[in-house]
Amino acid sequence: MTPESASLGGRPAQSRAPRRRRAVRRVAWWFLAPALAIYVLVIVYPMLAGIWYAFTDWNGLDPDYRFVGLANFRRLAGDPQAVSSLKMTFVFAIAIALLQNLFGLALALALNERLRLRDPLRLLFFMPVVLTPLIISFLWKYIFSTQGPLNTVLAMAGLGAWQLSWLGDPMPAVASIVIATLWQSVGLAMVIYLAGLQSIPAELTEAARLDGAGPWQVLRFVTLPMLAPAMTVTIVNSLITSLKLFDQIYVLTGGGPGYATETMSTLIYKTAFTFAETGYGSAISVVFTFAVAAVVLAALHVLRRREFEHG
Amino acid sequence: MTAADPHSQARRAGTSRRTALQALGAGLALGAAGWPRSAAAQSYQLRLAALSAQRIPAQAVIDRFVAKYPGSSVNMTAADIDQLYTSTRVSLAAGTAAEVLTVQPGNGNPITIGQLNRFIGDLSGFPFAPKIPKSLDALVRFDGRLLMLPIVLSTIGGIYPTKTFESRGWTLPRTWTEFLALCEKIKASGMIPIAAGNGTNWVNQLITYALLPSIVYADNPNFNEDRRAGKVKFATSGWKEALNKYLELQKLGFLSPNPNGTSIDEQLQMVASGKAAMAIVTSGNLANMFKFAGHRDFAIMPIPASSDANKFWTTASASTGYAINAKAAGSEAARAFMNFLAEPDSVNVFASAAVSPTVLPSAPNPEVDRIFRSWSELFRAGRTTPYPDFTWPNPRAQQIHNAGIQELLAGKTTVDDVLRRMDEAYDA
Amino acid sequence: MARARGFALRAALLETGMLLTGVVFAFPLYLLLTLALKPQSSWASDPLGLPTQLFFGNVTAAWTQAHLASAMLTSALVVVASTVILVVLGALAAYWIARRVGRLSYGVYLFFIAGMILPFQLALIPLYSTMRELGLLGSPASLILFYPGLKLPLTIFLYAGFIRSLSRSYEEAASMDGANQWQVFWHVVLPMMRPITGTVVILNGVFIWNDFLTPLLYLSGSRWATLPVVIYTFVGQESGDMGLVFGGLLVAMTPVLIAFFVLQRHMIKGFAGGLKG
Repeated sequence: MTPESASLGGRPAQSRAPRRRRAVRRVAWWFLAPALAIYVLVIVYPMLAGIWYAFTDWNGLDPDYRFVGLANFRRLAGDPQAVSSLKMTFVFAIAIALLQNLFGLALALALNERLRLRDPLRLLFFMPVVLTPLIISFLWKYIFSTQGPLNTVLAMAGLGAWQLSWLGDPMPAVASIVIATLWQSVGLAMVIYLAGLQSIPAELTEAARLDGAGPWQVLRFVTLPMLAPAMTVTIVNSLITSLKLFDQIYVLTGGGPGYATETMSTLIYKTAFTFAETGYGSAISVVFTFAVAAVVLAALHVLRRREFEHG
Repeated sequence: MTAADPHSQARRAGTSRRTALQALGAGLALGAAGWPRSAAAQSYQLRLAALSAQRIPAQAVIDRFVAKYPGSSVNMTAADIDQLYTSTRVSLAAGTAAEVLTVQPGNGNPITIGQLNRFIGDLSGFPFAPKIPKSLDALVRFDGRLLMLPIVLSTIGGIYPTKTFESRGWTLPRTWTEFLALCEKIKASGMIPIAAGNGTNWVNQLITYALLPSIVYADNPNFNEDRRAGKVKFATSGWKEALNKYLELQKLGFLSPNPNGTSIDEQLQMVASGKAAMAIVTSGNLANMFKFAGHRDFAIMPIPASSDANKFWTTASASTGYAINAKAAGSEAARAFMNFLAEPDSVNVFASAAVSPTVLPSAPNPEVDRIFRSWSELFRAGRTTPYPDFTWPNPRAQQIHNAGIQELLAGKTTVDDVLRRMDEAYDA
Repeated sequence: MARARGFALRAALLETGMLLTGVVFAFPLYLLLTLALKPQSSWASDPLGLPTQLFFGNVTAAWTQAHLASAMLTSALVVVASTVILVVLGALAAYWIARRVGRLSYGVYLFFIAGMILPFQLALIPLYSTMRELGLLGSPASLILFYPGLKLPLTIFLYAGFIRSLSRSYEEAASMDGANQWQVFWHVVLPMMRPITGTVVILNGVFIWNDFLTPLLYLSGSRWATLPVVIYTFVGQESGDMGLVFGGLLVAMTPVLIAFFVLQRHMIKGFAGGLKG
């Protein structure tokens, strides 16, 4: 639909005020259709089907199954492994999100000072972000093994008492997974914060210093508030990613010892594909979905409000 | 008019070339129809999903298969049993599984013939079917169909270095007290009595299974049927004593440190390097032990768990065997391979590479006899039972047992709690 | 004066501290490199030292035994095909969302964004079942259908944000010159989106190349395997031979490492800027 216009010479209309007619110009439906079709086929429809299966006892194969109402959910409530994995999902997500941002911010602040090593260090810290988590997890599995390099280095450094069964005892196992995941994610938080820091106008920090503010005060009253949007982005992104954590846990501990490191992701996978209890697995997934949505929306709400207060 | 017709030969003038060509064509047609095809010209392509512990024996058989049928290729992938639990089922459901698969008897874990019965083919019509001992019917049949080809027997016991035991004068125990005394002597000599590899999931159940026969089955060989019928529960049976004895080994300091953080490879290497005196694992791990140690002077000892030497029982099971993917049941390649596998020569090759006694008839093997001597005594006396879980109705109870042992070793739960959860899962 | 010296001292401390941090951080990569290039028999005697002589046995053995070449090709195929689909379909849909004013387009936008937040696990089993019914399991086609579906939300989020910031004048000029919608999109808008397309390609490409669980499920047992799946099977098979395992890990890391060093600026910018939207 060509808008009627007198400028047949092709002069851009930016010199005129935009007309309301152009603002409601339609875009053909077939621009949207293919993307919508694939999205519905691959994501939306299966998710709805998943909710349906949560109320059945389907084993993933037989064409016939029974509707069992809330039986799967009742079983979930009484299943110590499922309850524990719900808890551990949050423990991992919150620990990783917090530490990733803390360390990422610290690294960004450090690298923002004009160090000589700044560029190589930035590359080094960011590189693990793009490496394949599955492959790196096997490397960490070796590092954390009882006779492995970590314990060897600790012994050589005279810290023999700190040698642990990194993957065999429950608390060290959790720590190991957090460390392995952080190694590959801290660099991402760092570059986002670096970009944020570099966009803070120098006059602001200068003005604060001239007013007599020390470095901590500059950080607290100028830098951090200006970084609020970057903080929202990284924290929400960390939460979403670490709530779905799978590869590292699957390789390092398989959910063990016992089920000390089992999360909803690994539990759903085992339930559905090793034990063929897809009805029960779907019920766990439903609970998981609600939990994730709740946490992410809550975090978004809190962080956005902080952004507005300081922005 | 064929070339053989004398009248056509008489009319050669002008038609000789044409008749020659006709003769050639007829000759070729006759030849193609009647040319004998040699059996060795067949070549097969198939895939085999093997268990890591059986990789070496399976490869030995594959090499002979390819030699017999040149041009064939058998693509073998090997995986640890924990991986097979998931990948077998997933690939069968996806229709992408190998033609020949590794399976286990019964119904108690994800790759048992009971659990996979919809996906694997009936072997009753194969030539080797009558050769499988009837006593194994309960293990290899499900719903009347013969679903697996068992080759070797396996047991669970302590694999130990014979020369070390000889030189130290350590003798094999026949009661629980003797076993504890042996461990005490080993510990005093500076070696770790029992290397433990509980970091690998499926290893956790092994010590329980090693102790159960003497405690439960010596008194009641029909325990599995009783449990099935609900007449008895895990929590109120000898299982409790078995788990407590397992933990006693840890309390007395006989297990290697950090069992939950040690994999089976590390466990075997502890024995191979002389740091530990024995590893209580399935006999299928002998081949790996030889590889790690660089020598074959090992034997396997059944573990007594009773105070009465007459109640010294152990396990004897057709553990892993081979099944045919139902989708490939008609495939020439799969059938040829299965038949080849069951031939006496193949059984011999497999069993000596796997260092195991066999299910199907085979040639005598002095090395196997030496390694399994203590086990053979019990086997011949009828004091053996198959692995406890093969009659279990679902794979959940086994998983709870494995995870439960890890928790028990970490001090995170009680024996009663684990058994209660196993009962709940069994009865679900 | 004292203050200046204080600054210098602080800067030196910071520099040293960061150097140490870098060294500790690089330790896993150092191990990967050195252990893979040393014969395993020498690991016990010299666990942390540099190799006295570069030993390539581990990497060559792993390269042939693990069939890494075909796995890399499969991964590349899936990445390229999925990314192309994502760019085209994502840009088209985002254009619709961004240029069509009204509640409907905002609703559609939120519909897609929800897919970024909600975890995929709920859809995992039903989608697996659908793929099976479509006969796609065991072929890379299943992945090439899956990844666009999964990553369209992020892609549309990135494109829509970018398009909204574009002045409409160029599009209007083009349509006044007689171009239809498709031509406006293809010849005017798409070229202007090159920076964000770079981000889209990098973020999606890296994710798809590194993904593990879905290829494991969809290609299990078939002749196809992506790189992470092949490494998983390989390590499971050869766990008793750590030298061979490390050889495999190092070779499998190489494509990403090369891509990173070549595209470092783009990668960093893509990740840092992309998430901000």
